[in-house]
Amino acid sequence: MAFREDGDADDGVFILKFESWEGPIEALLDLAKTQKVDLARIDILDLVAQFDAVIGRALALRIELAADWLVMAAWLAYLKSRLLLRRPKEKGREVEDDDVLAFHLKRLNAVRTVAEKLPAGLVLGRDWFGPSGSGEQAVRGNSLTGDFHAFLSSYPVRKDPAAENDASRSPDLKPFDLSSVDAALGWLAARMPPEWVELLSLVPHAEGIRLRSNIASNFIASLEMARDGVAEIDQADGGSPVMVRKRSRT
Amino acid sequence: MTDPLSALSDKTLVETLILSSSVPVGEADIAARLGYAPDLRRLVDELNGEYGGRGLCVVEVTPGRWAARTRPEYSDLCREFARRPGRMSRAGYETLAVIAYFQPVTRAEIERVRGVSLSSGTLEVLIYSGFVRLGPRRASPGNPMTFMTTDHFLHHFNIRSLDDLPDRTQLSEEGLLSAERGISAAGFPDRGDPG
Repeated sequence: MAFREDGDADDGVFILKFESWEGPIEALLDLAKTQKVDLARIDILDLVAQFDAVIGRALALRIELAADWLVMAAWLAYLKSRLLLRRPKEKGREVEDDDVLAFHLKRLNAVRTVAEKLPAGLVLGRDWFGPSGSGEQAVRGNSLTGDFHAFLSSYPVRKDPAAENDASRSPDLKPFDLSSVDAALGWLAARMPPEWVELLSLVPHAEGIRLRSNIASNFIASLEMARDGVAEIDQADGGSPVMVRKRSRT
Repeated sequence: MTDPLSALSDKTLVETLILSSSVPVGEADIAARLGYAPDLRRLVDELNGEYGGRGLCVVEVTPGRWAARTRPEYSDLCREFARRPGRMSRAGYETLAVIAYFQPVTRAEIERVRGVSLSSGTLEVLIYSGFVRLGPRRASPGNPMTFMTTDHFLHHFNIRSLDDLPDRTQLSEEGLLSAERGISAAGFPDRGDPG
């Protein structure tokens, strides 16, 4: 029942132990995929417990192997759970989910197989070589062809010093600074008169967006002070100016 | 004034062109350079006959296109001079295989076939190595970008054409070359849960 790492094997074969199965997980998964072993007799709790044990020790193991193992265990748990929780059949559903799953596994297996075959043959730059210029030995071809990606990536690799100077010159943009409410709080607290006065007259003067920002932050600051009971704020109606004064301490 | 090229035999000219070109050479390239089309296939056969036992051969890497290659037997010698090729991860090879067999294929389809989500660097590495290029956008919701393999991919792995990918016909006959069906990366069947 216990999970253990085979101490004799060089590259860490993970051995699963169940009542109906004892052996490396790869073999079990393969057999389960081809339905040659009865998953119904595999205890899912055991599987989860062994799964859990591996997660706990994953850092101590070779991480690549641990990852592989986890993927396989996850597949097993998935297959098993599919077995336990069969989907109710639906009208109009032509393909059984099990078929989809089987198809998926078969396709995945096929892709894995051919992925291994790709670098198995003669690889340029590894098993044989072409004239200087082919493959990874240098630039490809002597004509200027490229795709969109090549076009984009041509920019970051540019090493022309003149161009670097151009790029380092920042565009002439005014810094986008806005006055903070905190600053306005301090500003207003120092200047708030005891008599009613228009809030606008207290706003520090500036130009353009900076002035609008000052007005906004000072207005918020005055509201804040009114809430704290430090100031009073008054406006007769929607069109009239906002009046403020320091609250008299009584 | 005589054309200096006329003093040389067709075979020598073709040999020179193939050996000096960094990309595979086809009849059209030769004809464009020489002004007439020699019997390339016969000339290449003659050249290879003369190269017998030497470190070089001319290989038809794509149908109708030839390139010079060192003999694989002597690759250990050449490797000293060549830049060490970058190693690719297993995920990289798998992704490359998915793109090669299912192209043009979207990122979501790659993830569905492999059953895991694609880490951000994998595709970029493949594109940067010149194996994968961007294909046309798919005419489906969101207009996702598709990915395809390049000629460089074929040359690199010594595959004559996309039809000559390993086990291609077998997979096609078994109907496995469809990225439509299967389980999405999240692990749920693709058609969505009922209810």
